Amino acid sequence: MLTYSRWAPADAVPDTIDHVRAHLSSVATPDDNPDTYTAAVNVTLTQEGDGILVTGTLDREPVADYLRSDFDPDREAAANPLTVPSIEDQS
Amino acid sequence: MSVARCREINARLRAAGFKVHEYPGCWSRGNGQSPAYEGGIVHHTASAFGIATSGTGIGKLLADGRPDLSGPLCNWAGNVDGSFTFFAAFPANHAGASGGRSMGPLPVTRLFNPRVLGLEIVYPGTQPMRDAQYRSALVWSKTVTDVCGYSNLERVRAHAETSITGKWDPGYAPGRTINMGTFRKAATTLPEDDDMGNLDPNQTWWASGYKKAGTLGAWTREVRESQIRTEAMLAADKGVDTAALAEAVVARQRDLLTEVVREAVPDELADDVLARLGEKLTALTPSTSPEGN
Repeated sequence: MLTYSRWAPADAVPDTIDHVRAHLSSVATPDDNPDTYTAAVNVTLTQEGDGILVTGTLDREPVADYLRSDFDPDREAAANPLTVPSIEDQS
Repeated sequence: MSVARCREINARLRAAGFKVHEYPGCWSRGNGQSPAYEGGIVHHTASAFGIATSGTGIGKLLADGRPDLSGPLCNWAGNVDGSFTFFAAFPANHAGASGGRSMGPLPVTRLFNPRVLGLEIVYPGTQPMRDAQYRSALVWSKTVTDVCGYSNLERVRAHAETSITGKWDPGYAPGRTINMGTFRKAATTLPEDDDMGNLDPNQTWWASGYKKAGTLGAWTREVRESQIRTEAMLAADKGVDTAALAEAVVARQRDLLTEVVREAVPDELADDVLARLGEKLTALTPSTSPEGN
């Protein structure tokens, strides 16, 4: 189960709900698609101070290579090299 | 694209004299989104001044999150002693959606976290951050933009500038955000303001003594922080023989600084370096960060 919340003033609640839905969908999809699970996100609104706490839940798990137990940071670095000169090369 | 870039950022921070702690699991920690970093966001934790390392409450919070918001909550923390803690190479839940009042060249998007690295400075936000934290935030900002932001300091924003929900961090008083124009300008001009930047890298003694000179830069900051602590103590404790204590502290600092400089640079330059360091330390404003004045 994924849970994600953001606090919002009253005038920003609709945009915040869109963000919460898109965020949870992107976390649960391998291509970070913000729309795949939008409809499946359950959103609750709670009064908190002078704003609203927007909490979304999605019955999925995060999907990303780096969250796998066999993830190798060195391999990831080799596959995605720097696009700027390294300080190691300058010394 | 995360690991190589974050390793490079940490290497540059360390070369500049900063301690970078690595929180366990940092190289595979993220919120599940794919990184596409092109800038950075500066925050305050709204907690006490502190050091967010493994075994601390604030460290655990930033790594693991809260019941309603999973971690990581930042990529780096800016600690009260000027050090950093590196939490996550992959996107963290810190920035929400973007589209606030001052985006600069950063994108307006529902999914901002994959685009920006996040620095959570460990302080309340209702009072100025420590000088050491301000200084480290400047260097972090320049480093992040040099590595993944086209060397454009406009790509570092306050959360207050990009938030669509009225965030005001990083602050210096309740509801008041630090002056980010001043911040970016200071970060842009950092090499010219830095004692190390005034040294000629083409001189052979400099090339061979690079690491010692880096220690000298760190030592300069440490001396200043010690001065600030001493000033605060003197102000708080009227029973202390302030003149004698101040003289003792200054003498000790002078001796240690002299010792480090003598090790790092040749004799013919040491006097000049010491004189210039002394002038800069004397000129620094005591005990408040720039926005707090």
